[in-house]
Amino acid sequence: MSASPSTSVAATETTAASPVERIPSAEIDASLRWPVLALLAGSVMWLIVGTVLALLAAIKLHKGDFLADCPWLTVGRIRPASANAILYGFASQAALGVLFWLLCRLGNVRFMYQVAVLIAGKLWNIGVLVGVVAILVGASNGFEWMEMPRYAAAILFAAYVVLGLCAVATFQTRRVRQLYPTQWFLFAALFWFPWLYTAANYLLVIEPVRGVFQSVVAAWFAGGFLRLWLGLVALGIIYYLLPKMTGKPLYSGPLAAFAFWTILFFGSWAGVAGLQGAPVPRWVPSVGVAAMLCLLAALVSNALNWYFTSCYLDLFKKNSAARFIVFGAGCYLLAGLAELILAAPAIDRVTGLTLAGMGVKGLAIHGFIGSVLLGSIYYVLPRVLQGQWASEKLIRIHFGFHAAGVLLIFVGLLVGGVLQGMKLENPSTAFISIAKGTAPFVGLSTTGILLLLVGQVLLAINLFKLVRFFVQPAVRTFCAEYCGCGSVRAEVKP
Amino acid sequence: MRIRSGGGEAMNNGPLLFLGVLITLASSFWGLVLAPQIQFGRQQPRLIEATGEYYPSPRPGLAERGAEVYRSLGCVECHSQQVRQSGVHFDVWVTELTTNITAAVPAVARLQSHLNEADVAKALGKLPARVAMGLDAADADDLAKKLTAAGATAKPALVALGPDIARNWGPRLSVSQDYLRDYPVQLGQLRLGPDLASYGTRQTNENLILLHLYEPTRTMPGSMMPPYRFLFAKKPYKFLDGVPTGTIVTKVATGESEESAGEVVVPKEDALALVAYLTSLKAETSLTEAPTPKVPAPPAPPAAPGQTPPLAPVPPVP
Amino acid sequence: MKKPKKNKPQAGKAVEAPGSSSAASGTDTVRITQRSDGDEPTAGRTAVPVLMIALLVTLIYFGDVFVIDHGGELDARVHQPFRSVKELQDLQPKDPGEVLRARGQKIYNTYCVACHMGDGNGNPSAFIPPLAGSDWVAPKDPSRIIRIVLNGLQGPITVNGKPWGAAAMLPWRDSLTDEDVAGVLTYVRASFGNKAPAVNPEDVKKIREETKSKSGNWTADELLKITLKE
Repeated sequence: MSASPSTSVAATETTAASPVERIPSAEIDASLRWPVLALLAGSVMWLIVGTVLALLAAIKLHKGDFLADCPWLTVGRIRPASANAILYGFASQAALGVLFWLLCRLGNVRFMYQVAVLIAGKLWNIGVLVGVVAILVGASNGFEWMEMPRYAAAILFAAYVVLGLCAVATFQTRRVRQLYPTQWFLFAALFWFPWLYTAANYLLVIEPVRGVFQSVVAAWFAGGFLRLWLGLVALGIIYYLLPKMTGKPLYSGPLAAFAFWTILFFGSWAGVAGLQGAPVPRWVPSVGVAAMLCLLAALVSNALNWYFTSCYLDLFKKNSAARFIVFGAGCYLLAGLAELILAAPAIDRVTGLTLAGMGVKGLAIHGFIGSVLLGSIYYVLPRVLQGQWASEKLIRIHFGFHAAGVLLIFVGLLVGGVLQGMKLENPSTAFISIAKGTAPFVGLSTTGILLLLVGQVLLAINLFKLVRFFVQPAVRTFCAEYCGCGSVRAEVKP
Repeated sequence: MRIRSGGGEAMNNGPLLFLGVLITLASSFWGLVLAPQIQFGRQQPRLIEATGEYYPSPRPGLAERGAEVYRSLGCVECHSQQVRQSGVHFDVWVTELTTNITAAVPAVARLQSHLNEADVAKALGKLPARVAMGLDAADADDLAKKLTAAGATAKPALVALGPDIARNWGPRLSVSQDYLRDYPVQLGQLRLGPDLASYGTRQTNENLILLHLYEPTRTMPGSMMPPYRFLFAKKPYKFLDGVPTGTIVTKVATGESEESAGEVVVPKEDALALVAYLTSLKAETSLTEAPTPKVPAPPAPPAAPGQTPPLAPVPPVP
Repeated sequence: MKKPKKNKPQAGKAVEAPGSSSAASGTDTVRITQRSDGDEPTAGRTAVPVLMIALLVTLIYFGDVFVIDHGGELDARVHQPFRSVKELQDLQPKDPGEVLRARGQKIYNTYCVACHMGDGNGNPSAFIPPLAGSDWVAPKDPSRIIRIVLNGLQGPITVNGKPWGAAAMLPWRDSLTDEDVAGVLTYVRASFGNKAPAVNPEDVKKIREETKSKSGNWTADELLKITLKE
């Protein structure tokens, strides 16, 4: 057991308890192998499906008659289908996979619920599939990121209950009682998602509320989903991986706590800020904007904490998974600032219903959450499989495509949205010319999505090789030991 | 092996953490879900004094189905349904002259010093006449009182401002009462297509809407809206068969035989429902929270002796 | 026997050369790498800088200012761009009669125009008296004409000095509400050359109560017995 890596803070022991005997991380990783592999591999599959759908949607937005004859592929159905595939199929699933790994590692406990998680993971995938197909068929609910009809939501919820209980049980049976900041973030996220999802489904689908109140609840849900479910998990991952990858301790736990409570309190109110100018009583979006303003404090404290933990540039050069994490952290800060600027009333009057909002959302989803989850996939998978990626170069190339894609999407849609908004302000500009003017910028975002897709295909190739290398021999071993078929000798792939 | 804690002992306490998380997250549930439910979640259709009807009125059956089609096709991805307004100001209109025009013209010209008498005379010759624009409520009231005292009965008229209104996307801003009967409320977040909140007030030609759905570039060259051909069915028609309304002729019949038969495109039920829904979208009723502009109507023409004059034109119901 | 794939890598060191786990023999290929990943990260104990707390307090303050300025008094009626309920009330049509008149016009054109005609001149051949310039419509106190609308009129009536024969007017008590009656009377009193003040729905309600037990139509004599208030 090696001693704690270089920590400059003097030790102040709070208890005189004997040191806990640590389970070696390799054993913990081994206990997580199949559940985490299933969840992460499933998430990669949905990422590719979702990005393909997003690519089709983006093409249709500037070339209306592309594949226009199939009702399943009409743009109004493909866009929500792709969003749901990416958010629920990729992001939520990957978040859960990495969450289990983090809780086990930080709590220093072996994972005990492999079968439950494998079954629930399958169920989650089935739920996403049912939901995405239902949207394409036309059974969408009509609310952003809540389009999956109630039967799909029920399947997802059932799967989540199992997964969530396993996670909470893992948390409760941890062998290290002190909590590291990441665990607070994951705990809060685990708790918030079912409440958010149930409340939104109940108030919008099962017993719908009346009138524009639906829009308020829908905005509360969408904001909470991005900031307090996926966002909290992603922040927790950054808080873990940044110090871990550099070997230095996190700069300040109390500062992380400050950011944590600030995000929890103000972040839950900030979702409705997008309703500025909408036909809802104006106090609702005003309160949302005020909350978003206060989130700036969390943004700054996160930035400071990460910066003082490790110099970004250093880490950026270190390894490819680190690049994703640093890029993700950067996109988090950029998206937070961009969102706040676009929420200023004078600017929202111009950019309110334009591509700009879409661009910032794309930055948040692909740039922040997507990057962090991809980086953690690249970090976690070789550890749970106890091997390495077949090609380090592919990871670097993936990062290049990913970063370029995200920036193209963000800059393209932001600039396009600002121009669109400025033209919309002038009533004598014919609307058709404004609509046509958005085409080149949507084209930029289409190129961005294509770049993302290429990178994801590289990930899939890498993943396939990794899995084949490590799973095949394991399967063969299993067969050899228990049914006498197949060769005992493992094949070695160069 | 010692693990240092972050944030202090309290942050290590699982139940305490849970409590803290519960309270902070519950605050938004209370503030953004429960409080609005109490405040405006139980809105009812409102009785409008001026018409005696309830607003919003229920949609006819086909239009309700059309709302389903709108949701199912995901039109909300490109079209918003919220008219925005940036403010109001007032114009002042002279509606009738209580003295003769020769006395009224100099009086009005004195009050509106930037107009010369010739322009005023021309304006007052054809009533109602707008004599001032862009005033705020107090100034408009003041001017109207002064003009009325001078012999030209004047009233201030509200004008809604904003690019949406100027583009004729609606007579006034959309407010929460407008969406009371909608499910789901599809306010929209992107305007790649024009706003549809009050589409029924500017477009009532159903055939034109059907044509636009079938082939948007025919009605709006350069449009990027996808053609919704799958909402229509192609049928042949012969020369002497009547072509029913709502059909789009894609090939003109030149004779009675099979080869010379024409082709029409007939909307399916979904298309008709969607059009019924779109033409039912009207947000023009004046409400307390959304005062609607009204331009004074011209006075009824005088009746010729011995004749019953035609009914005075009914001004738009506020 | 297990052979470590590589030396315990430092926490954070990248996984480098691809596939170097090749030296495998036997069933343990997959479980060879007993790498230890280093220790889990720890958190320093640096306290939250005071400036950060100050920043949060400042932001909360400006957030409050924003909600006060843009929050529309937290009232459900105030939508952007309006700022307060008072602003909305100031923008309502000032003329109370305007709303009643508009409603009354609708009712008149639906129900009354058939007999009293669109110009309010009535129909001499059907013994229907005019409303235009009528001395029954003109007085400030509308109690007589409210009664006529509620319970109808039968028998001869003298309008503007001219006698009108035995026409009958239907009672509208059950078909029109108080607001409807007030509206149509306000409209009539402001149209066809009439210039009498608006009628209040409360007055209609009062008279409706008073004449609850009236059966049958009014006659002109009965109505003329009612003294008009000034």
